[in-house]
Amino acid sequence: MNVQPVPGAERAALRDRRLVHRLQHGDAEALQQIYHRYKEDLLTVAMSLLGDTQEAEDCVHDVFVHFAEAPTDLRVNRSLRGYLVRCVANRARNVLQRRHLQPGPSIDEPESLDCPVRGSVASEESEQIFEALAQLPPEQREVITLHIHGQMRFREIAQQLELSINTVQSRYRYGIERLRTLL
Amino acid sequence: MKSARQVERIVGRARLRADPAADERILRDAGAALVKTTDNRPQASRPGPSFWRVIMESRITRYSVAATIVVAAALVLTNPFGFFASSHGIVLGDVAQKLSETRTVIHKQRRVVYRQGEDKPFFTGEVQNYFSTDRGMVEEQYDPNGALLYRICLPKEPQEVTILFPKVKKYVRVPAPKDLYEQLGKMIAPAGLVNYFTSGSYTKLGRSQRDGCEVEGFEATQFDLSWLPAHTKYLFPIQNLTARLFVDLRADLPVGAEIEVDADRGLMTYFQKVHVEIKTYDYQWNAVIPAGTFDPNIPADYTPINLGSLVPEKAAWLGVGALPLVGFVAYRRRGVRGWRAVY
Repeated sequence: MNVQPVPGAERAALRDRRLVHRLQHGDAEALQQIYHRYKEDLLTVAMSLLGDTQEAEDCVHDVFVHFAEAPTDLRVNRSLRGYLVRCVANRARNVLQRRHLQPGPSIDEPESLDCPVRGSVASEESEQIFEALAQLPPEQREVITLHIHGQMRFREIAQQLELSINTVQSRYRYGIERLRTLL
Repeated sequence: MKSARQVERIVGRARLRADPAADERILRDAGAALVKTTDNRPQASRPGPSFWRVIMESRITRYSVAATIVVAAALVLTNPFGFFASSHGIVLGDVAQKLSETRTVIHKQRRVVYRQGEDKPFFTGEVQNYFSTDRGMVEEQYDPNGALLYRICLPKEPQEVTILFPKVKKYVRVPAPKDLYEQLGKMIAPAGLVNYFTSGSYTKLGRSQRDGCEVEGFEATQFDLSWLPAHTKYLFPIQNLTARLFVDLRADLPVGAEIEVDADRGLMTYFQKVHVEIKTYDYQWNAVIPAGTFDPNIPADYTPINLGSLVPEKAAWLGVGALPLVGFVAYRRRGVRGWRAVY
């Protein structure tokens, strides 16, 4: 019998659907598997967008808590990874809006220099990249992050951000041009 | 200066790795949220054996599902509250009005199953049904000697189906699908699924005497069964379905119904051709139903059972008694996933 191999993406999608199904039935192990599979991608997206390790962790934290709170509402049509990336991007956008409205550290915020070094870690090269990304206007940073780290197509980004595809592409192009001078 | 391609590659190399403390915090909080969500979810959607799984676990319950397919039809056709509230303006507007004012009914049912071509039934059951639009429904099935074979209880609250088996002092209790009662309620209520069953043509059988009443009879043989699960044709292949309803002309209320179903060989019929006859009679409209009737009242010496190990094949037709419940569950859960789970 001639057995057709299942393409990798399809296999991954199938695996994700199974995990989501298990999660919808309250399987905590499925939640852990999903987290460990995508945490690095999601943290990287969050860090690229927010430029702050602690906020990136909080962002991923909030996304996963919300994800676990309403698993039965999940509608993962294409990829679970894409779904989670979009959630992180949305959450990060909200954080940035809040930050814009309330600039400066809050009173309750701990003095980071007094705290022991902890939290998620990035290599030296990664830190430079995140610093360069942080210098971009948020809208350019968002498009670059979603395209490169989120692996989203321009068309998907345009839908996600409710922009025209031309706008998305031009933001990307300007952002990359700027990064050429920064990296 | 680097090219755009090189910049893209460099940006793509950026990674942020979570430290174990972050992992722990995120997983702890997300896990807690998941547990909380699961605990707050309706019982029917929690992990663990679902009503459907329990149903499909054994021959008896699978027979019930088969019977259900008869029954889903039978339920509506014999539905004491629903049949006449037709938007097609079937005959008896007065009947519909009376039914809409009715809150309770008690009636009996006889269920007989034959192998096609045989005169002697291989299963006979006498059933007592109690319906209350406010409190729920109960069905009791007795053997020919009057001994209670089982009692199914579906109170309006809590939404659980409890089945007691007195002979063996066992019981099954499973959460009801959250909308089961609502759906049953729709069927019990005058509007119900009536439109569906009255959408086909019917014929008048004329007047006759039945249980001392002068009745008008109606017969329908054409039903839209397209709503049945696709796998039905393998499980319980219905060949013919005939329903008759008899209405007391003086009271403008149903006093009896008959359902006859011929089914071809299918998984649920153990690959036998069967003929099923269901007759309902002895209606008591707006009857006073004793307090406690709708309570499961599981005796202290009863223990939970594994259906699969308990009931012999023949007795599986006991499940016919569960038709109103099981059938409707099958109907509600007729999605492909549910039926695939059977196999």
